Amino acid sequence: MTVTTTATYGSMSNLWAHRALLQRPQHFNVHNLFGKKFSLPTKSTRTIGMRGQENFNSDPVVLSEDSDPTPEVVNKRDINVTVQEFGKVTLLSRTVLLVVEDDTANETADNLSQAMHTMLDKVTRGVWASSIPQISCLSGSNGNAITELTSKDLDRAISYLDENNTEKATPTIEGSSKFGTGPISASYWGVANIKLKRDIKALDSYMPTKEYGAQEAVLQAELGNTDEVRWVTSTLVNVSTDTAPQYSNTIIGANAYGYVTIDEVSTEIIMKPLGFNDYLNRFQAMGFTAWFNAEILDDSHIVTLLSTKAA
Amino acid sequence: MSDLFNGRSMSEGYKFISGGAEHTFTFNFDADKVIFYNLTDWTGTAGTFPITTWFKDQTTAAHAYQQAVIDSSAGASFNFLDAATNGFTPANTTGGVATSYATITGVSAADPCVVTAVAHGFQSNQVVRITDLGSDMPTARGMNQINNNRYRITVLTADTFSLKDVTSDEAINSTAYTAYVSNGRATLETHVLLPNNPPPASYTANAFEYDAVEYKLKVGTAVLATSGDVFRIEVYKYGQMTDLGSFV
Repeated sequence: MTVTTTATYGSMSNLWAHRALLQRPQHFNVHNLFGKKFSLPTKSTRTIGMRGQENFNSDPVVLSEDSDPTPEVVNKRDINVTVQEFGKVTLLSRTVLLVVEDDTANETADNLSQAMHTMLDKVTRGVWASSIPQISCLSGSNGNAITELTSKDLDRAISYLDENNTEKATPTIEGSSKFGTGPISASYWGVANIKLKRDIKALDSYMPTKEYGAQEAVLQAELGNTDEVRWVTSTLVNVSTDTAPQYSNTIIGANAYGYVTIDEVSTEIIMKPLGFNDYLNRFQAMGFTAWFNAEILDDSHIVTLLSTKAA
Repeated sequence: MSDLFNGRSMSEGYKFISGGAEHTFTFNFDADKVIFYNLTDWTGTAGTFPITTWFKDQTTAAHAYQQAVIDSSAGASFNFLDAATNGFTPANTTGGVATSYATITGVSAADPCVVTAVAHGFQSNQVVRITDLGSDMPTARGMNQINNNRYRITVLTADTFSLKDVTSDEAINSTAYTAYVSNGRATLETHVLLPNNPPPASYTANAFEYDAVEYKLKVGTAVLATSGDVFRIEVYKYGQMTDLGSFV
């Protein structure tokens, strides 16, 4: 049994304890921002099935007067997603609770919450990395086989979504009478690694968020807009281990991916008081469980633009 | 991955009979040290290896640190040596989701259109998306007509598959398409897509799941010796490893 004791988490009574470090840096998570949420009823099953139909062939059929056309079979496509349980637990000794200042448990709960959301985000991005169609950046000049992000490459990614009749993910942001601002077209979301900020800023028609006509809809990690893509950046975006690392920048339209939970109990922070499992009330347990999984709903509406970093 | 067990001292044991061939063992934690005891060789003849040890920080792949019997008579003596081949190879998996991409190296102008993608790993009736072809690339890559499209596939070999229309199920005739030049990607649409009924018997349509991390050690014949040898394994995870630095 691994317990957090005063050997590792001791008192600061000999110091004036400032709480500055309790503002932990946090990843920017997207697993529940751009996806559709699905929920399984409790006491049912762990697997959700989603069914769609392929489009009918729309070539014009001229009916003859004396016969019916050949019936076309409805083609289905089903996706099954099994929700899995993710979790983490930590144990605090009674001594820690007695000796260390009051907020230890509260901060640990907050820490667990952060770990949970990041964990679920990594699951989502794992799914993205596994089966989203990839388009390579090739128009750059950094000398790598996959080049840095360029407007031409981005255009090809947008063309991919346009050709598949993808709906934009965000509505137009109207212009305002504020000096130095402008409207933003209805856009797809672009999720890029934070190391590519300079490359994104170098794209044609880049507009930083501060110049949007309205700020209400701006996300915390949003960097700006280029033509039809609003970019958010995060440290969690997949990076390859190549000598020139390849970044999996993902452009997302509406209805592209989803995540599945179980009603009511999808995520829980669970705290067991001292004595939950020992005779002398010496240990307190804290942890979380999360019933979760993600899946690409339609790869027509999401595409990864593989790039390296500008020289 | 090892941070799951940070600060925990753990051990576990196994017993088995060797098949005389390489085997990959799966442990319940990220081990720091594994000891293989060959009980059959314990009082064996000279040249056998009763004890072989693996350390996590062992830097040379496929090596094994072994204790060799050099005199099996009473008062047996032993020697320590390093088996340079067929020893241990760490084989932990990182978990997550297996990727479903294949790199295209050829597309035929034929009926049906056949795509070459070495070790694609796809199954017949799965749906793939073709990207990174066409004339919009800085250097034209050909096969404009199939770029960005999705197709139901028929697997021909481990390295090739043919394309069918997703709706009509008719084979794609690429005879008149722009000639293939180079590169291209094929992406499995999803890991779990169930095609129109009835799916062929060979089609495996498991629901998507996120794979857990697995702690594995591939063990070669330098350790597992002869078929029928009786083994015990001790697996250890140190609670703490303190680097005391160099005393030089």
